[in-house]
Amino acid sequence: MLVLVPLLFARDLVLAGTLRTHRVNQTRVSLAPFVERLSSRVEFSHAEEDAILALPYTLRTLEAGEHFIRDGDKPLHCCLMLDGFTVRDKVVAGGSRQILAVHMRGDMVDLQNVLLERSDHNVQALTRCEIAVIPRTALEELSFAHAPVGKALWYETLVDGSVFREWIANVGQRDARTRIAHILCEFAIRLEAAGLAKTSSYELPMTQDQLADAVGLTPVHVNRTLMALGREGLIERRRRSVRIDDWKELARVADFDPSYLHLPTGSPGAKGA
Amino acid sequence: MPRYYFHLHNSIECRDEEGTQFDDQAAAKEQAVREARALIADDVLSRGEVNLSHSIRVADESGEIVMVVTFADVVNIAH
Repeated sequence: MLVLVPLLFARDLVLAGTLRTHRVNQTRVSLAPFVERLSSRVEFSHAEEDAILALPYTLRTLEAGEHFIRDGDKPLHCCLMLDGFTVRDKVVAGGSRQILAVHMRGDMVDLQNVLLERSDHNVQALTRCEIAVIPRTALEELSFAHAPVGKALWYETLVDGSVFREWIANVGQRDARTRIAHILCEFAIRLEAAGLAKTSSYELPMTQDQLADAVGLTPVHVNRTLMALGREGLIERRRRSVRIDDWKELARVADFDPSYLHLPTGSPGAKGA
Repeated sequence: MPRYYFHLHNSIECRDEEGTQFDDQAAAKEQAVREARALIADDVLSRGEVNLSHSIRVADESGEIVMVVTFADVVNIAH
């Protein structure tokens, strides 16, 4: 044992060195967009930018349908979206699923898990995803060591809450046509803000079954509603691709006001297309 | 799991281009009944009108219609 301890220690040092090199090499590639995202709402000094870039993380690929974390799990990491789409969902007693939110490039999917001891919903990949997996302890330390970063992360969770509130109103009070039109408008604005598409035309990342789970309708009802919006001349849909032909009228039908997304001033989509 | 397509025949024809996977045809039929009832419920809520001759035609992967669920078949209406 006496001999083993220093050997193990030495091995750990070598491992730590390897990990560190690995991390530094990837940092510039992967976390720079995260700095850009967080600094769009709160002003950072170089020290804060460097502290974010120095966050430890590992890159991971999730296949479509794969879970990042499940309801009830103890969270150890947070998930930063680099590419692809994830959803947060809850499954109720009868087995039905409610999709609570859709996430895309630049989103930190489960920032509440920095402090909460138990995941209260699932995070699942909608499509093949590239993510950065960041230890929650590192995010907590960063938040308290650098107040502006803490404020920016707090801001992110508040915007999450605002989007949840809008979705509750959508699912609880709006009719089928308004709900579907609303989610189409939200995708348009968020995809443009994330630099993934133009507001006027995009690839829908969801099947009609998944859309149904997001708006609390059945898949056939979703299909009928999408077709009706098409017949009215508001959108044109070919399989997954959506073209918005009359943004003003679609936004009116959708009861859509993008202010709940709290997009930073000057970001694409901030003015509502 | 086999995939089934739910084509809706109502005031407009809504072809299902995506389909959904089910364990078997019985599970697909259960879903077709739920779908028809959900559509009836929405028609009642939004317009107070239902056309019981509307139907969902369920096709298998080859495109063949394997069952037809008519709205009149999925609700009991007492007078």
